[in-house]
Parts: sequence; structure tokens; C-alpha cells
Amino acid sequence: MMFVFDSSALISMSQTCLVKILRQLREALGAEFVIAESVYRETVSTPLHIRRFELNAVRLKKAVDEKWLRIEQVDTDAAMDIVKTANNCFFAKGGPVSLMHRGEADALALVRQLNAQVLVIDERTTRMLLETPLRLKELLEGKHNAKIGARKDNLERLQGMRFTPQSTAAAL
Amino acid sequence: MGESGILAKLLNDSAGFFLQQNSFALKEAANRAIENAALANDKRMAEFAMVAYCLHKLLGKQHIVRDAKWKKLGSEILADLRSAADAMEGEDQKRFEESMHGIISSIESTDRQLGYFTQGLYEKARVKYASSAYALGLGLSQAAELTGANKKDLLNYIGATRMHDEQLSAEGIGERLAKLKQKLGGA
Repeated sequence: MMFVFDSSALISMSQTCLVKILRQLREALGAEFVIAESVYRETVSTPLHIRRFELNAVRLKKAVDEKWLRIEQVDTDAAMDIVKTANNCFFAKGGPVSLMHRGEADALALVRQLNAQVLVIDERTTRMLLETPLRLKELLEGKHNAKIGARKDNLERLQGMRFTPQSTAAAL
Repeated sequence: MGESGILAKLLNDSAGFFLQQNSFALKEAANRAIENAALANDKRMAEFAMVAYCLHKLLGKQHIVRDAKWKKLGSEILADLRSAADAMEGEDQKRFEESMHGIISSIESTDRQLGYFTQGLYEKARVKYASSAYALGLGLSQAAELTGANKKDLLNYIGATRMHDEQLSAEGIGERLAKLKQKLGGA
């Protein structure tokens, strides 16, 4: 079984001193734990030079050095495709609403690239976009007090990228 | 009215609020700005939101507005607000950036000279308004990118709010844990 980790999940686990639990989980499952290179940069390389984040970075660096957390190169074109599609799903005031950053897209691209079974992410919007896009649309409408348009083709395309087995057609 | 027009109006209005020491109106302007910034992915608008919030906070501090140094600092901020508004109306991006940079420098200078806390006010504003952008529906990285906040600080801040409680899951924690265990082969 393969797990791809987004930076948000690793940040949460390292800040709450739970990295060792991750290792135990990996051993119990016999799973592979993988991150994108950009996630490594964000959670280790960069914060190693920022004093208040250094300890968390060291924890994660240790995981990579001990080889139970592996770094993989992401297909850049695939990641850009995901970002472009995700950021053209919802529209407001005549323009697209850019919900997703390259950071999340790299993790999603890696899931597809490696046929991973699990994406570990501590972030609401990406999860809602993939699993419950209609609820995300309602959230956006409620928060902005504005009508939010949805592009069914892009939502279906995102669904078709095999992050989740659920279909959006019925939801819309 | 395009985003530039909205921002020019917000800047003009905020100059007036600042002069009147109307901190509440500045906070409202900041909140309106971050809503627009989140929808349009507009960093200039997000920057204005953070600036307006900082001015709201400064005006609310008696020990700052009563200090002898405040008169000069306040005048500089007002001049830069008006300059930024003019620049936005004239679509002079360079002058707009210089004026906003001037306001932020004045805020940081005020904070350094007269503030009580080690963490800067503008840095706090980055995290606060990234959190607002996240609450408004942006992804975590996108929200952090919009205001320049650090993602770790943002996650910490969001964790102390109730925004995730707004999206209650249809399933309880027991059911969700059982499903996860099933997916992971009963580990």
C-alpha cells in the first residue's frame, strides 16, 4: 500500500510530535510513504534555516534519512494540469476562483503517477473539491454571499483523474 | 467596477477613516478587501486588507496614539494612503507599490518603537488574513501564498479556530475511524 503525504499533514504531525507514530503505522501496514520533492523543500530544506521551525524540519529530515519516507519526482506537466483544472472549476464575478496551489497539486499528481492508494492531507478545500464539490460550492456561496458558477466538465475531469471513485454528475 | 476601482475606493475611504481615527471602519474595509482578494486571487487587495487591519489595531492602542512619535508616523501613513489611492486611480502600479511599501514600513516602525510584543503586527496580519482566506474557501497553500504567511503558522492559527466545526461530517468519529481501519486492512 502506498501513501502520498501533502506538506500540511507532515507539518501537523511534526508539530505535534507524532512523526514516530507515522513510522509505527508504516511498519504495521508494510506500506510505502512517499512525498514530492516540493513537499520536502517546504517541510525540510526551507525550515531548516528558520530557527523556530528547525526542530520540526529535523524530525522529518530524519525520516527521509532513515529511508522510511521517500522522495519522488513529480511529473510537472501533470501537476500543472491539475492546478489549471482545479482553478477553473468554480467562477465568481466573471472570473475563475483559484482555490488550489501547486503545493497540493504536486501531491495529487504523485498519487496518480504512483497509483497510490492513500493521500494524506490536512487541508479542507482540496479534499472537498475532490470528494464533495457541491458542498464546496455551497460553502463558497455561503461565505461570499455570491452566486458561484461551476464548470461541470472541469469537475468531471478532476473526478476522472482517479483521486476518488465518486462521480460529480449526480451531485451537480 | 474592476478590482483596481474597488481597491482605489477602499484606499480613499480608508484614508478618511484613518484621519477620523475610525478603527472599526478600517477593520470592515480590511474584511471586505480580503473577501475580494480571495475570490480574485488579488495580492494587492490582500496587502491592503493587512494594512487596513494593522491601522485598525494601531488606532486602538492608546499608548501608541498618545505617544509623541505618533503624529509624525501617522502623517506619513496618511500621505502614503492618499498616494496609494491616487496611484491606483491612475493605474500607476510602481507608485502604488512604493506607497504601500511606505505604509508597511511605517507600521513596522511604529510597532518596533512603540509596540509591546515581539511578533510584528504585520506578520500577525499575514497569518490572520491567510486564515480568513482559508475560511472563505481557498486551499491552505493558496491562502498562505495570497498573504505571504508561513504555512506552519497558518496551520497553528487555523487549528485554534472553529472553522472546521462548521463543516460537520455526516459520519461520527467512530464510523470514520472504522472506515479508515477497513481501508488500511484492519491495522
